[in-house]
This record gives sequence, C-alpha cells and structure tokens, in this order.
Amino acid sequence: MKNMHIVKGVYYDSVTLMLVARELKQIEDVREATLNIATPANIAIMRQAGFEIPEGAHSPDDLLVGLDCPAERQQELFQTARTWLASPPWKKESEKTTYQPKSLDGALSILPEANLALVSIAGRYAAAEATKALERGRNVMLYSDNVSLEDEIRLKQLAHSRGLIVMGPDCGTAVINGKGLGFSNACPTGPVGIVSASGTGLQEVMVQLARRGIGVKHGLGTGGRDVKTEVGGISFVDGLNALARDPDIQVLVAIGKPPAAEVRARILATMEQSGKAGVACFMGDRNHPDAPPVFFATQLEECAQVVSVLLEKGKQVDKATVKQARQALFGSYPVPPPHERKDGYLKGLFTGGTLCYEAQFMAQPIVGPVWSNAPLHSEQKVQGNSLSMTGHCMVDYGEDEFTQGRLHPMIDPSLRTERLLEQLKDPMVGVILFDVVLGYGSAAQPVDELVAALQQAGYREGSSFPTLVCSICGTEEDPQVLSAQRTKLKQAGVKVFESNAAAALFAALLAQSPQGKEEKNG
Amino acid sequence: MDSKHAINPLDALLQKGPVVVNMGMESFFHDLQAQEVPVVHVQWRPPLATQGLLQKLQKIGGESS
Repeated sequence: MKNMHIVKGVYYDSVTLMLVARELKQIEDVREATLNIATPANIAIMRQAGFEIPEGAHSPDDLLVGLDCPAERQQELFQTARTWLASPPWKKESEKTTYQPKSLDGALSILPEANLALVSIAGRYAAAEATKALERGRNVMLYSDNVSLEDEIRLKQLAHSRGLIVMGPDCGTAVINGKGLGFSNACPTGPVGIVSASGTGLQEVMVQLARRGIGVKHGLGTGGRDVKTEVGGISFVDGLNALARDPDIQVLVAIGKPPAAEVRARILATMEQSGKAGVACFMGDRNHPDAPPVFFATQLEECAQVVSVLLEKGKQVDKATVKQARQALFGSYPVPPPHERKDGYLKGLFTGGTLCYEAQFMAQPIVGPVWSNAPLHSEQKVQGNSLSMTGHCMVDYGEDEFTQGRLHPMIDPSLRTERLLEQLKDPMVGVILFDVVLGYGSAAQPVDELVAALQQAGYREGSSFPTLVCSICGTEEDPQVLSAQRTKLKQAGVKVFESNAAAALFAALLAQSPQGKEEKNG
Repeated sequence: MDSKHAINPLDALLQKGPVVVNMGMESFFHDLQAQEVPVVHVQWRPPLATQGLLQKLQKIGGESS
C-alpha cells in the first residue's frame, strides 16, 4: 500500500533524506520509501511514482514521506523515519552531541577566523545567506543552483567591491591551498592555479595533472554563467588576478565552455598581463592559435598535457614543442581493432556536465551529429529522455531537468544506472559510454549498483550486448580509491579509461551506424 | 584596499587556506573535517516567515509597509 505522510514546517538536507530513505528500504516489507521537501518538482515526481498527494495540503517548507508497505506498518515505519531524521543511526554519538549553531552569525562567533561560507541550501534561500556572508567580509562558494541571474550579478558586484569572491552559483568544485571543497579529488598540491567555469572540467584537469605528477595549489570555480555577457566574468577575472599575485603559481589555467566574446577577451588579457605562462581550455574552441605566453587546448587532458610542457620547459617554451606534445597525446589514445566494432548507435550517459560536452566534441567528427539535452549546438538539443531517440545521443544527468527534487547524479547515480540498463537491452544501441567521477562529495560506492545490475543482466564483454566504455575521473588517494573502482568495472566487462577524451574517442571509433536495422522512432 | 598593509580578503583566503562555515549539505562538512580544514556546520533552517508574510503581519500590527 502506498501512503503519503506530511510533516509540517521542517527542513533536512537532501543527503540526509536520501540516507533515511535508503535505510528504510532495507527493512523487510518496505517496497519503496521516498522523502522529499514538498517543492512542485518533488510533488510531480512522487505523484508519478504513484503516491497520492492532495492539493493544497502542503507548502514548500513541509516534508513528504512516501512509504510503500503493508497498511498495518505505515504508522510504525513513518515514526521510524522521523526518529532517524531526528537522530540519524549512521551518526556517531559524539557527532550527535556536538553543538551546531543555527545561523551564520552563530557560526562566526564560534569560528571568527572563518574566511569562506560554503552554501548548499535550497536556491531560493541561498542568495540571502550569501549576501550576509559577503556583508560580514567572508568569501562565498555557492554550490546551490536555482539562484537568479540578477542575484548572481548583485552578489558578484558586491564581492568585487570588497575584494572578495563569489564562486558560483552552481559551483560544485573548488580547491584552495590544496584543500577540496564540494566535489573534489585528492590530488597533490603544486605550482598550478586554475579558474574554471566548469566543475567536472576542473576535476578532470586536476586528475590528469596528478597522473603527470603535477599538483594544483588553487582551483577556483565560478559557475557556468560567470562567463556569459550578463555577468561579464567578474569572478573569473578576479580569480585569475588573485592567482597571478600568488608567487607559488607558475602556470595559470582557464577552463570552461566557450565564453562570450568580450569575456574571452578579458580573460585572455588578464592571463597575458599576469607575467605567468597560461593555458586556456575553452572546450572545443579551435579558433585560437597559440600566442605565448598563453597556449590553447580544446579538451581537458590536452590542457593538462600542455601545462606539463610549460612547467617542464619554462617560460621560453616554443609553439613547436607544445604542438609536438599535443600530437604525442593524441597518438597515445587507443584505437579499437576493426573486429570489435559494433553495429549500432553510440549512447552516452554522464554525471559530469563538462564530460558530456567533451565526449560530444570528441565523438561528433567521427560518428556525425550527436543529440543531447546539453548539446554542442542548440539545433541538436532534445528534451528529457533523449536516449530513446534514434541516433547518437549523450545525456547529462546533472542538468536541471534531472536534479529538481533529486540529488546530483554524482551523489546518487541510481537514475543514470536505471537508464543505462534500458539502453543495454536496446538492439539499436552499439556502444554505451559513461563516466564515473570519484572524490570528496561523490557517492561512496559509485559503481556497486551498476556492477550488480550488469551481473544480474548477464552482461559479458564481447557478447551481443552493446559494448560498455567508461572513463573514471579519480585518484588512488580519493575516498573511493581509483584502483578499487577500476577493478570492479573491469571484472564486470567494462572497458575502462582514465581520461574522458580517450574513452569518448574509443567509443566513437567502436560505434558504427546501424545497418539493416529498422529505425525505431524519430 | 584602504591601508597599504591591509590584505585583499580573497588573497588572504588563498594564503591562509580555507576556514569554513558550512551551510547546507552536512556531507561537505564531513569531507572538510577529513581534510583537517577548520569548519563549523550550521544547522540551517528556512526562515520562519517569508517577506510576504512579514508584510502581512506588519499590516495587521498597524505598521505601514
């Protein structure tokens, strides 16, 4: 029996709600358990799942607890949920008794030397708390999304006027003095300083640098909108200038999808004037020849490769040396033997937005047009479950359409896993490409659910199933341990790469357009 | 900055490293603790009254808004 319980006027963060739901599902008799704040998006999702939610009986400050279990156990299990919310069973006793302030001012009275507020509350409240932090002289990392463009501009102008920075909104990753905030990997600290409008772009470059023995001292996120005309790159340029003043930084790196033309000009001018060598990686942008001291990269591993050359050769590096290093990288990417090619479409399922973008950029010259909910070109945009379309498709499960009322897929990859398994059964699909992003903030066991499901489905490498190709963005020092995740995936029959660009290229070369198969739909 | 000795607060953050007030996802707090970053977690709750409600209350109380 599916029943809905409403708790009025409470607030819990989405990770706590996910963990309580997960614990409840372990109980015998519980077929489904879902806990959500009563936002319109969550209500729609829960109704779709078959829970009846009466109109007008709730507000966005209420909690909805949906339980699918025998009627006689509904109340008992609802009370269990409330007990666990009040006192989570996975928390240590010492954590339960530690005093936690209720406000920013309370926190600042405990830790007056605080220099950064990390804000990940619901978007509609986030700008107000960020404003308070800035007015109290603290920098802000704004993980929250759904913050208006007007608020973003106002916050960034306020920060700029006070010599502070706002990273975000929608900033998932930052590294400051080698310490990771939000989604970040355990990488060495070193002479590289990065400003990035892309969270997973920053993670991938840091990981690729770590593979080359190079560390990052600071990696400042800005959120994707910062490099649009309206915001004008306020945080991006302030961040670059701050990194330029740091004597430990030898190479400056700028990462993001291609910025607005005038913002690009500001970024490049700042880099040129910094007195340091620089690499600009505006994904897929081939329009700029190298102009020392600033060099260009079109994809994330190439960015790391160019940085490594600049550090090795120093400021006097010439364009030919950099070109040679790029060619060496591209020449090192594995190419599948012809007999492994698969008759069918390429489908990509991503948790990292920039990894999805990069994969399209790598695959499109080989397989032709790639459709996506976050496409390279607007005319290739499709909505919702675009994987069901005929053709090559790549979906970013971190886009708003999938995260309203849900955790980010890097924390909870279950929806992506579900969709991937559907693709596995589709005879029109030849190759399935996906990413796994490790590090702080990401799921503790990011591949276990998928590996178990593949075993259950009888997946074997080289069988009639589509070929599975995966990239892992992570290091051995990450909490999930790179080698442990790689082993699990390889044992499940997945072809595993440690570079998203290499995986995308390999997958594209594997996939051949279906021949002699009926088109499914348009 | 006004004084030649005053340091830009962004530069201070980069020099000293993060000392954090965390508001929202508690998992971020634990990740920072694991990296030995000084951090306080705020048991944040949404404000009790929205601005619209405050205005209504002010009207009931006879205040002009």
